Amino acid sequence: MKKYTRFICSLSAAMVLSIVTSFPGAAQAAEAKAKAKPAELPIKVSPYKKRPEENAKSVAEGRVIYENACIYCHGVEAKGDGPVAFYLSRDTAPRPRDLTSGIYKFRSTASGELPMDEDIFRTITRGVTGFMPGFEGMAPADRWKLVYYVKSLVPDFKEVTDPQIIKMVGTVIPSSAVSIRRGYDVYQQFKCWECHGGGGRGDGKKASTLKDDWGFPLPPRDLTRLSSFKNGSAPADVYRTVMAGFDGGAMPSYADFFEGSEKDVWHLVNYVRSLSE
Amino acid sequence: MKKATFWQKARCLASSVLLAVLTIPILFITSVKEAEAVPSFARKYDMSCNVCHTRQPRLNPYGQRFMENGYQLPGTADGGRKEKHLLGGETNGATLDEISNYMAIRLRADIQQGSLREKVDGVSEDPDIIFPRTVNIFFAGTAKKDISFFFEAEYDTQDPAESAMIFERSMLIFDNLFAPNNGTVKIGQFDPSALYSFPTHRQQLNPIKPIAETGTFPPEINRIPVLPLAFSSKMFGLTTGGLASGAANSQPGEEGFAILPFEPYLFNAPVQKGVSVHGRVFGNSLLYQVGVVQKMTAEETPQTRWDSYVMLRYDVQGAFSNFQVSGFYYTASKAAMPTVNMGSGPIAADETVDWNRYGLAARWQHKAWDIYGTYIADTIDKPVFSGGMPLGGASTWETDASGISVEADYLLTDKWMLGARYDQMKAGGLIRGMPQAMNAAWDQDLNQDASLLALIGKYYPAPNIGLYARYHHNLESSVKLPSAMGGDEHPATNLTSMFIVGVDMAF
Repeated sequence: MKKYTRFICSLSAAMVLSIVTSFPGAAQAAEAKAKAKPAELPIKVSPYKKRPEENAKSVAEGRVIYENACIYCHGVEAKGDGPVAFYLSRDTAPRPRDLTSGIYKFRSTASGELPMDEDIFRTITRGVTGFMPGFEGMAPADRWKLVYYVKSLVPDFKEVTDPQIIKMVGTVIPSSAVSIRRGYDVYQQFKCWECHGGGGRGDGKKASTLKDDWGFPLPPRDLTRLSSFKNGSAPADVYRTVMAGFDGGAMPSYADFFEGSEKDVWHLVNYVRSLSE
Repeated sequence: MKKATFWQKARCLASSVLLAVLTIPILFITSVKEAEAVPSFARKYDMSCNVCHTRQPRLNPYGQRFMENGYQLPGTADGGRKEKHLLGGETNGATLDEISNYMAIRLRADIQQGSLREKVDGVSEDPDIIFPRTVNIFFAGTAKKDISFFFEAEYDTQDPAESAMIFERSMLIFDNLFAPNNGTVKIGQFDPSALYSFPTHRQQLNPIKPIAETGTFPPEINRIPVLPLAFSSKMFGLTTGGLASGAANSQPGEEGFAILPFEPYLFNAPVQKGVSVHGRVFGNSLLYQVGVVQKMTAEETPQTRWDSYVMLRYDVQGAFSNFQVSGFYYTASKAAMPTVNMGSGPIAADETVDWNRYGLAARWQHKAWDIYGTYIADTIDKPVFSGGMPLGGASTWETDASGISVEADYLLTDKWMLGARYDQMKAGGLIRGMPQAMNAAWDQDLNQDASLLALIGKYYPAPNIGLYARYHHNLESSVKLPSAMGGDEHPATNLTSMFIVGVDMAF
């Protein structure tokens, strides 16, 4: 009996300690952390100044880093066929990306375009919530070399001289009741609810029919869980997602629809972010 | 001994199935909607459990690489997340993270039902509901760049010992010494086989320990365990020594005196105190590990002994596949004292014996398949009993033993995994206490082989919650085999089957 008492006391103390220090819980803490991320404007050409030169040597070094850190998901030939890919998701998307396909989900360029170096760098650094870890613990120079190696897998990168960048018009509009109300109207007008559902829980009538380009079912994101946004949850991230879409995924680009009314995107951003409050 | 009738067995089995049928939906309903919380590493990196596990608790190649890098992402030396709170200045301040990024809990509970050829004291054939069976509390992560720590306290609710809570793992890890991947040093208590190609003891879904009475010598093994038998010591008649009056080791009748043939031992056992170094200085495909384990000799006056081991693993990846093969060699000098008990008290051999263990393992993962197996062999010196003549000297011994464990898992869907495992143990150690001619009752070998075949179904309503049902059939149970002591059924053949339904969840 004594050992039970001792154990229960220890367990209780540990749980209380955990609750006190992490209250109101892991999910909320993660969301709070996500909210705290600064609005990073991806169209700034180079927020990361110190980057090594892109040449054959840095590409080769990038390949070594890839074999150490990335090969298990993206595969030996970077076709998204690493040994972990199947365990990550047997039946549904997302699978690790085929890096030789030239189809990139996270871009600040127009749909169908190749991403900017900074987009790849950002994805490596932040990861994809739930699926790909963020490699912020990797030396920045190594991350740049990885970017160069990933680019070397798609010959078309050499031909890009003037990428069509999504323009981020205006500044972040602070969230307010008026802005959120306008965002709600935009959400209805563009029928976001068809996939994301009326309450944004990813349960719209088309939700179960969506597939990615490789034929895997791809459920739409639950917009009430800010921390789970794969492309980031800061206002600029959500703006970029709406305007650039996810190539290869089910989320289309709305850049053409919002041309000239970009303020509405910021209102939509505020509405989407308000769903998790 | 009165045997259970067919109808008694059928009733027991039916009731355990009924309990399983009732329990699984309840667990499913209560957990599936809320099982969003995941253990500390997943929380820390915002990742699904399946990034590192085929299905928890079994590591996939990325999880192995994460562990190899001192619980840091491969290719990084993160030192924790950057969002840590900085309290105080840059020089003398403390950086603190959310405690939930470092702390996790694992709970295991099950309903077991074993069927025996003959009833044995202390082993019930009724469904045994144990909730919880084991509780683990983890505290692990990176303290600074390339300095990691891992503490895992395990509380076994079924352990009769007063101190049933142990630190199954408690270690400091210094990563990437000299150059990335060159050398990682672990100091503390851990399972040396963590990097081996066959998943460790703790990566099994709730290994079932033996039921034994160790208060006598030889110990009474009432029920053999259900765990990878290749890991077990396999040797009958060995002890940790200390027969002399006043010896510092355990005495006959004390916990830890007898080395149970079925318990995980040496390289493949948890809670081994020591130091190990591993890395990939020979390229990205070849992993080396060398280490020492601190133990006590089995002499009458025990001394500190240092077992040593070396392990090599070769990895190769292909499309949706990973193949690895490992080999290890472990040597322990003065590791055990051969002992016989003819009824007049234990008689020890003249000298302790050295113990060597070596093994090979391979693992192949391709798409939904995960197949792995290991062969582990043990050898001891030939025991010498000149001082114990005639009884001890008349004993016969087998100095070699070996075991094989092979498992195949298939991920049927994202939530369902089916598996099968085969375990075989060719026992060694004490065969007979005296020649058969001297005692006709001793008409069977003591060191009986054992082999089990298991069918396993696992259902994961969430990546951090595994529900499972396992049926283990003893392939040696078809022939009645009395114990070498005469009378009772030998434990290796007495257990006919084991049916287990349980839950293994981590938060």
